[in-house]
Amino acid sequence: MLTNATRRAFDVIEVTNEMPTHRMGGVGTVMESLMSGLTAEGLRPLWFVTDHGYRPGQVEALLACFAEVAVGRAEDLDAFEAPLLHVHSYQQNPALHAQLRRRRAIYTVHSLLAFEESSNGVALGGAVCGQEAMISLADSVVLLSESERSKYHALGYEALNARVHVIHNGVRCAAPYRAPRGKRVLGFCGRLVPRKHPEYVQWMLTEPGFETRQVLIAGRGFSPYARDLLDRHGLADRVRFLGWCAGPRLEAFFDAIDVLAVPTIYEPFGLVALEAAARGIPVVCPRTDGLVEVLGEYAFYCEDTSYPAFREAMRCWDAASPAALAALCEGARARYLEAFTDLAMGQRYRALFAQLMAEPVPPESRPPGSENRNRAPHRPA
Amino acid sequence: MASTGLSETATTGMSEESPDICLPAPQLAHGALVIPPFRVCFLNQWFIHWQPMRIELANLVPDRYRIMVVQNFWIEDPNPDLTQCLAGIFLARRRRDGQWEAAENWPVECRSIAAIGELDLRDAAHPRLTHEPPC
Repeated sequence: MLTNATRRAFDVIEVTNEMPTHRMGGVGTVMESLMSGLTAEGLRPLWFVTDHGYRPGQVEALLACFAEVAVGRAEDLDAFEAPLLHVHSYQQNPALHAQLRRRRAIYTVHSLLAFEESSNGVALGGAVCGQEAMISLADSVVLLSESERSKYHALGYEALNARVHVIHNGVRCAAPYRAPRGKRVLGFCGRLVPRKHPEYVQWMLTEPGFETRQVLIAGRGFSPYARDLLDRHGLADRVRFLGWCAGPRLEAFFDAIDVLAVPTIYEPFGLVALEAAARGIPVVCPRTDGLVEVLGEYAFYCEDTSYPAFREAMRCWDAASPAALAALCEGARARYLEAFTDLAMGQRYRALFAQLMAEPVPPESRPPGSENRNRAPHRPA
Repeated sequence: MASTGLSETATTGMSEESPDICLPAPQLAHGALVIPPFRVCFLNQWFIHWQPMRIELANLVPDRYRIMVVQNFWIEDPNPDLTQCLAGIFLARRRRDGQWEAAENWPVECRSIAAIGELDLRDAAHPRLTHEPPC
């Protein structure tokens, strides 16, 4: 184990596969927000990184950048004391499961893998079962939206663990608020996976009235499909793939775009939409899952998740007056400031930690088994 | 795609503006394929690799390889200049159907930008390297 911790006892141990550097997904961003949010609440967490994908040099950089960090195996958690484990891991292993059996733990499910599997049309194999094991072993489960709670129910997961809480994510935004913006650059941000439909925003460039627009895509992954899409529609000089953007590059992306397209068919929360709202960027998206909880009525919503519906919503954005755009963006920004900052998230977690610590230890949850899970009802179109 | 990228780079003369970073000029040296720092212009974006690369030939299966500049989607990039992107090198082998492997396919999932040469290791004692075009 490598650590820069100066003591052994903490208020809570945040167990994660990902920190705010070399982010594979949204969990690193949530860690960043928890760092500031929990600190503002007076809590002193240990950041325990396990089952990670960092190279040795990156681990050294982590330890240099952040205080109270330990990088090690799940068994190494025994070296630290805390009344509560707060687990974010999406990589499971038996040793971590053993920790959950022995210690009081909250498990934040950043994404229900059964729905990731169906919405992306991929087989995640043992990962879904691993997540189910984690759910059953934790004392309490945190989901990111009420929509996720509905899906949790639809999957039959209350049989695994009925102690479920919804805590929305929050983010810190140091970037200036700037609205309204122009109508020239369409943006997409996120992993280039089927459920997020990155092709929709590129198809828009082929529509009448959009011949002079450009697209910026920030995210990991490329594919023969992405290559062929550019070739087939002659879009290569109007679509810029920026790659895996971090820090100043991600901020430059947000600064350069005039609208953010989020045409996803499954979104546990909607972190990128929230980041756009905080900066004054209008969002075009379907009423998918957590997106509605984040944006309220302050978005250009698609009637459904189809491309024609997305195209119609994009046309509504394009037709909106500067005053209408400004009003919509101000509404989204107000929601962000009221409920979705890092400080708001920190308050919610601190309250949950206190609530759980005041309760007696619950009886053991029902272990995962083949009879207690329904099929994920959501299927990609 | 490859020829477009290289011809655009050549016409802009950017290598003269930044003498420390030249166009790819792979070399064979001491049992390794050595690729100096480079940048390639393609569709108004610069694809850049800032450090020299050294690939030990002993680690490669004897075969013919196409040396491809690719957009690297595997490294986190903090560079705020959106006209610049991280590049990498992908060594493509021939498939059974005669096509070169594509960097876009899983598990590499990177974007092909330009072919810069071919490496022939079928005769391990006499590796051969051809550039297209030379630096």
